[in-house]
Amino acid sequence: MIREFHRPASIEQAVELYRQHQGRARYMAGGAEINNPDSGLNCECAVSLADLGLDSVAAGRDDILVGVCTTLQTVMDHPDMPPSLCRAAGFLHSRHMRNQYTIGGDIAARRNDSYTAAALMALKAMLHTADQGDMSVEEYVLGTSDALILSVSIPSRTTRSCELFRQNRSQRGPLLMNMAVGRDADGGAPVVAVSGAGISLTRLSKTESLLASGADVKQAAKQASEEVPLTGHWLGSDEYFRHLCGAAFAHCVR
Amino acid sequence: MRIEFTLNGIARNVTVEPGMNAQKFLQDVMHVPSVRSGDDGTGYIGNDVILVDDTPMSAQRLIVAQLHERNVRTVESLSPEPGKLSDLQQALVESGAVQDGYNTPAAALLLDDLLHRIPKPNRQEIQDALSGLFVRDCGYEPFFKAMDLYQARKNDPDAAAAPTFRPEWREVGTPRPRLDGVSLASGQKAFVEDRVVPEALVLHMLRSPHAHAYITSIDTAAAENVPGVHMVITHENCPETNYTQAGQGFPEPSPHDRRMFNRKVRHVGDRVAAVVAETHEAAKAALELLKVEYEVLEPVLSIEQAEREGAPLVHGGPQQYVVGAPDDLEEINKNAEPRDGTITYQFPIGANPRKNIAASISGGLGDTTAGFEQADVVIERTYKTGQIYCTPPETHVVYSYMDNNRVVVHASTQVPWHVRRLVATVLGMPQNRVRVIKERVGGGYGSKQDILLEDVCAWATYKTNRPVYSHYTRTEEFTACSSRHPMTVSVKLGALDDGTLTAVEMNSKADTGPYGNHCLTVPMNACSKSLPLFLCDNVAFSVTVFYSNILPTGAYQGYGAPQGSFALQTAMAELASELGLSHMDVIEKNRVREGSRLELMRILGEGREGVAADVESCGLGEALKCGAESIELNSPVTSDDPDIRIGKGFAIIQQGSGLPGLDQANGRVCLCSDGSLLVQQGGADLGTGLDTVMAKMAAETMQVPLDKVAVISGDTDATPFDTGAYASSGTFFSGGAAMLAARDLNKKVLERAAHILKTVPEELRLDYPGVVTGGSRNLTLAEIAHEAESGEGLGPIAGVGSFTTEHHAIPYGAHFAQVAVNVRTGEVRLQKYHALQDCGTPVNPELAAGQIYGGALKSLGHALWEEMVLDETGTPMNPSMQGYCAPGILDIPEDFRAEFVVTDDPHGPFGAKSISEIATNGAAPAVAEAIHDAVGVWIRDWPFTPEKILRAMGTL
Repeated sequence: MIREFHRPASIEQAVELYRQHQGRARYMAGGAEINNPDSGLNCECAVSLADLGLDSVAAGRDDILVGVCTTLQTVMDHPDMPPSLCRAAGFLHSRHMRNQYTIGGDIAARRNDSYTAAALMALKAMLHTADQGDMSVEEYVLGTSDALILSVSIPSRTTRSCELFRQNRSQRGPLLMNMAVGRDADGGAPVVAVSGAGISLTRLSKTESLLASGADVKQAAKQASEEVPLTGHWLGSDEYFRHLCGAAFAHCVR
Repeated sequence: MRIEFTLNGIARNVTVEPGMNAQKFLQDVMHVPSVRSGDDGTGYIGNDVILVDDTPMSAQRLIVAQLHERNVRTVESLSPEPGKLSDLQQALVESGAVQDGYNTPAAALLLDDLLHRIPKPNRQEIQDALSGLFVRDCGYEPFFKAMDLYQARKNDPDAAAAPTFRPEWREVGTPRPRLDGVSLASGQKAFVEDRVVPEALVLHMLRSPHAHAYITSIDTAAAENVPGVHMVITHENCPETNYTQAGQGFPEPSPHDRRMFNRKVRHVGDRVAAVVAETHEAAKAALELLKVEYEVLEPVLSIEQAEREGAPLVHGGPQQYVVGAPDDLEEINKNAEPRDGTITYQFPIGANPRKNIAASISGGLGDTTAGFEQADVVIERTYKTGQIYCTPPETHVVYSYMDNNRVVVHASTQVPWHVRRLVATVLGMPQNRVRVIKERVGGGYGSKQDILLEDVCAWATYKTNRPVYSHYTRTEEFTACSSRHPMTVSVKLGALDDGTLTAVEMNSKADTGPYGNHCLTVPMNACSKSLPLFLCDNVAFSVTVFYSNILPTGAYQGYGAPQGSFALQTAMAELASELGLSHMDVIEKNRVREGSRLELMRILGEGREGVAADVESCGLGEALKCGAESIELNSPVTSDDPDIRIGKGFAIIQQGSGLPGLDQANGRVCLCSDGSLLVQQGGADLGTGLDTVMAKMAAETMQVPLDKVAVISGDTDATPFDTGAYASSGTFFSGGAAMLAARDLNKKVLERAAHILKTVPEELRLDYPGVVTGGSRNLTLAEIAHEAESGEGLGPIAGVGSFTTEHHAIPYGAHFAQVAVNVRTGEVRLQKYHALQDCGTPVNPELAAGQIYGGALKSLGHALWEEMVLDETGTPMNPSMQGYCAPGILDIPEDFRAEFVVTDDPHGPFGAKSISEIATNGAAPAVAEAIHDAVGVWIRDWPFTPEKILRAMGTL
């Protein structure tokens, strides 16, 4: 249970507070994950980001800068947001929860059923942090950094595209398969990010290579189904999840 | 931490722990009852929604510190004045969207926010607004109707909420706001949790981590020493009485196969001990200190494992019979294991626990062997159904206290009278020292027909002389609650080339799990609520029910009929396919009709011999005709998407209207001295609108407007006996009793009026609005009542009614589905679902429609998404709302309809039959046929997952 709640007035103060309470503190944006008893992210000390003005969205020529406290509902509604990211935010099938979930919280929770992380990886989004410089979403999500994320920089829709596939057991039920396939405007630099039931968020590098080499969809889909790392899950057999991964890939690149 | 915030327009300044959950803070500290939980803090159910700076949020996902300097609003802020509803709330009530009411305040807030964002939202925008709200009762569709009504009333304040039926009557068949609508929609105190006093002790349960084990020792010393702990209850100090938790009429067909706490645990989550303490923290600390040692046994986790030779015995204890003991009982009990406890049978139910058989029965009509020989085509198919949960938004809850030497139990129950009987039995006191008060029920659907908490809570109150409160966690709601029995049903059909059935066999095996709650009657209903749909001279059935160590089973809306209906109806569709005939033609050739005599009902009784039924009202033909037209059954549909195949299917369904010869309902209608009526009725309204049904019966019979009638129900001190709200008995039995009581009052009023007017009653009649005419002068009900209570009067006037019957008033229906199947992923999308039902007279049309939507969506959930999965140790893999997959508003069919086929049943009150349970019987077979129509494969076990479809198609 949270016993200390701090509302720093500056980013520097936030980082300092976090360091003071390292090991028992977490940064809190909307708090939807930290306050979720199932998330395992409970902490004794919360360092709130509410007063730091980190909830703005700014569209530039080449990218769009999304403050870490921007809610998924705002992401979904923003006219300048890449359509794939709007869709990804909408994968949280509860409007009032989208009012609480922030893009930063969704990234920092490192869940395999994250709504936006795969899309952000596929879009090659970058994170600007207060204390550890810039890093890719992929580096952050697949690593162990506890940096204070300030904003997410997302390439504009003209420079990079992304296609998504997501299937749950029921609409609000557990995730079966989540995939994002991103490519540059010229089709280059493909990123295939996948997660699912018993599947941690990961990239399918061999599939990406095939895609980059111009292999046909069928061949690349077969590679994706073979490459996806499975750990077994009650929601289905390995054979089924491999098939679904291939189907997801085919859906994203068709 | 000191926080300042605004709550419903009033500035607040409070010192609290910063990390306190905002929902608990608002409900417990700020005393706002409408901000509820029900999901262990996850916010999945959505009944914790509040507006923070005018934005809807989950209070459970906030801590108090986050409310600092914020403007917080709850549903109380919507009321234009205390006790009044906003136009939106009124529309919710009148459209039937308010049923159990537990989540209604959240729905009102979410829709109010939507209307501020989008003044005229479309269907998709309404779905989006309510996407985070879980509702189990009304299938979500009434919310769209509520929004339509809200918009319509802007232009026309008299716009009708729903169609009116039976225009010859004023109240019955006419939409009226339910009696408890204002209370539920405005978030007033109405539920058990709202009655608990701050000084109440709390009761928490230690539950078994093992599916099958003996408790070899329990050391409670450390737990008892935790400050604030008042009592620890275990098998060593609980009452010796053995009983069943099934809330059925006594003597129950369910075996008495448990004590309050047993020495043997039989499922993961079984009761091991209860701690009664002053605070939740103390109780939880004490639970941690209980030292329990187990002798772990091999679990039995399926029917196949239960029936195999040498299987571990779930109940190896001694057996005893109240009547009908077998001659070899002494021999049977020779090697009984006393640690397993005794099983007491009230009468024989075909049990053989030495083979893990909890119950069995078989029977038939005619000669099936000859029937199959006569057939041109014979098919045999086996269907499986999974373990399905009721998932009421309000988990099981009870609050009990002593009133002098009496125990008072506030319960969220469907069966207050059975609760009283069981509590009195367990406590060893006469029934007149137990009072059960049924509060508003936040969803039951059968699970609250079983008595899962009241026994232990009342015992704790009795022993401590203190108020005691206990409330299931959502995990407990999955692991220690009644669920639908998993079944394997084999169907053999023989038919002539023209589709005429020559023989039907239905052999069912069911898994009752650790205890025998409803073990005979639920699986029996798989036969008795499906076989009589077809007129065949040669019918045989058998039912065998096994004990196992899966999670508990019991009653669930439909009560075995959904399993049987899935098997028989799908088999009929498969038979038609095999014969190369239209499914509809085969159904029409064999189906029941008005005037049919159902001899089969004689051998399909519930724990006793049944009664043959004459079908005196049957709207099945009309339902089939209208449904086939509305869904365009014979017009194939194609998709532009090459991965999508579209198919259609349908099923015919039936249920019952209570249990003829078993059920009884009683009512009193009292005439107050101002001419208003007070209905005192034992029936338990669990959100269905039964109180409003009973009020309408009284109003219609007594010729008064509905607002002249108030209802008290489900209070064992204040109302007469009623068997309870189960088996689709509410409208038929309890409504019938209210009508009879009102008729009695009508008669007595005329007698008193005749006495006053010095004439004979036959000269008088009661006219609307409550005026006796035909005499020398008119007398109002108020005048008659006032005279009755005067010094020269003959005393207060009240009518009584007792409803029993030997007549079946069978409701019928036909459900139609259209699905889109993605051949690449196996995913099924529901495009259309049209449910047409004959419930006789729809007494509350808007609520009755909600019942159909709710039942249909539940069974769509069973068919497509829901299941409880156990690992090899019997531990559930998905005991959470998200993991379990009950459908939300985003899962509902794009075109979802509930239509009435009105008939007039001669035995039902004002022609009414039952409405709700039957609605759970159609979806699985209709969707199974639609999937077959789309992709050519039959899926014969629930749920129809993408993987099963892909496997059947040969893709995997």
